[in-house]
This record gives sequence, structure tokens and C-alpha cells, in this order.
Amino acid sequence: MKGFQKLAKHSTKIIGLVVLSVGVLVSIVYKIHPFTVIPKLNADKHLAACMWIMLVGMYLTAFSQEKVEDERVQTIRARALQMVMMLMSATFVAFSLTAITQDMGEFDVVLLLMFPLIYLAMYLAIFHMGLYFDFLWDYDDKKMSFLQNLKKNKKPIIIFQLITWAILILILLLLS
Amino acid sequence: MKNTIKVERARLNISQTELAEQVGVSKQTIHSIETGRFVPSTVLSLKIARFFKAKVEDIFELEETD
Repeated sequence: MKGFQKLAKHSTKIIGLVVLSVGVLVSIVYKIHPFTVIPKLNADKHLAACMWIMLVGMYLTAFSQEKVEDERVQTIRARALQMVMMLMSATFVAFSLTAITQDMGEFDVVLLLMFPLIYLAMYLAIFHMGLYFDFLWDYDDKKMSFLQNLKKNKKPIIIFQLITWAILILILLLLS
Repeated sequence: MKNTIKVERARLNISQTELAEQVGVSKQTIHSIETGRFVPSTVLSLKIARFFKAKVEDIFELEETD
């Protein structure tokens, strides 16, 4: 496996974040005030195109190197990928059972884009939590209870809450 | 696994950033190793030990829970 790692350069992550921000903004603007860019595309496909920009941004962000890509970063990356892979497989097992037992009708293009979008968002959240929150989690007194330790770590909890709510609101906004 | 990196750093009066630069990792990685949250690979352990001009077993020590 040596030399297998083919992550993009760290500068790609910055480009990815810019593309992702543009995608999120365009998607939100489209949900509030629908607009037409390519006349032959219907409303669903326009929304799908906005989400596709987000998807490209997330992909570039997810698969580019950190500033210092050392063994700790690689371990966290591997754990995050393992966790998301397990969740993704479980979802597809459940989804395929539904497809076997029920008539799914025509497959929605927006729904198709939601799958990689959610998994990449989950991977990015888990990876960055492992990368930065573990470091911020400075107050880890083994003599104290878990809840007492939580009270001493307000900063990571607030950031975690903000990210979780932002992802949930975005998903709900796009699905509505 | 516990280690004496913090003690060794204090002895040489160097920061986490300086040690990180010398062994080719990030400052956060050194912090995680010092606090016992991350167990380094053999290569990184040897690099750290070589930097402090000590043996690996002088820097790193197994705990009963390992």
C-alpha cells in the first residue's frame, strides 16, 4: 500500500472550500428565489446542478492533504473513512431491501445527489472533529466524571453544536 | 503508553513546535503524544528518541493497561 495515497495538495482544500461555499450559497438562493440559467433544465435539475457544485467542493475538500499530513492525520482520516463506509454500507443494505420489497417508481435525481452529499459531509465532520476537537479537548481529567469534563470543555461543544446544526439545517432546506 | 517527552523538552528548553519541526510532524501530533491520546509509530518514536539522544525505552514506557 506504500505510495498508494493519492491525495491532492493542501491548496486544493482551499479551492474546495471556496467551491463548497459557492455551492451552498447558490443552493440557498435557488431555494428562496428559483432562477433559470439553462432553459432546457427543469426546476429539479437546476437544484441538482446547485447541489452538484456543493458536491464537487466537498470532494475536493475531503480528499486533499492537510498542511502537515503526518501519521496522526492519516490515522484520523482512516478512522473517519471506516466509520462513514460502515454507515454508507448499512444505508445501502437497507435501501436495497426497500427497492426489492417496494416499487420505487422513477428515481429522483436530487435524491441520488443527496447520498454522496450526506456521506461526504459526515466524513468531513468526523475527520475535522478528530483533527481539531481532540486537540482542543485539553481538559480531560480522569478523576472526574464524563459530565464534569464536558462542562470544562465548552469551546469544542459549542463548535460541534454549530457544525451539526448547520449541516442539519442545510439538509432540511434542500429536502424541503 | 506513557512517555517523558514533556520532561525531555523542558530539559532542553524547546517548544512543541520546535520538536515537531525536527521530527517532521505537526504541533498537534506532539501535543497528542504527550497527553497520551495518540500512540506514535515505531519510526516516529525512533525519531523522537534520536532527537533527545536517548533510547526509545527511556522515552516511552508501557503501562499495565497496554
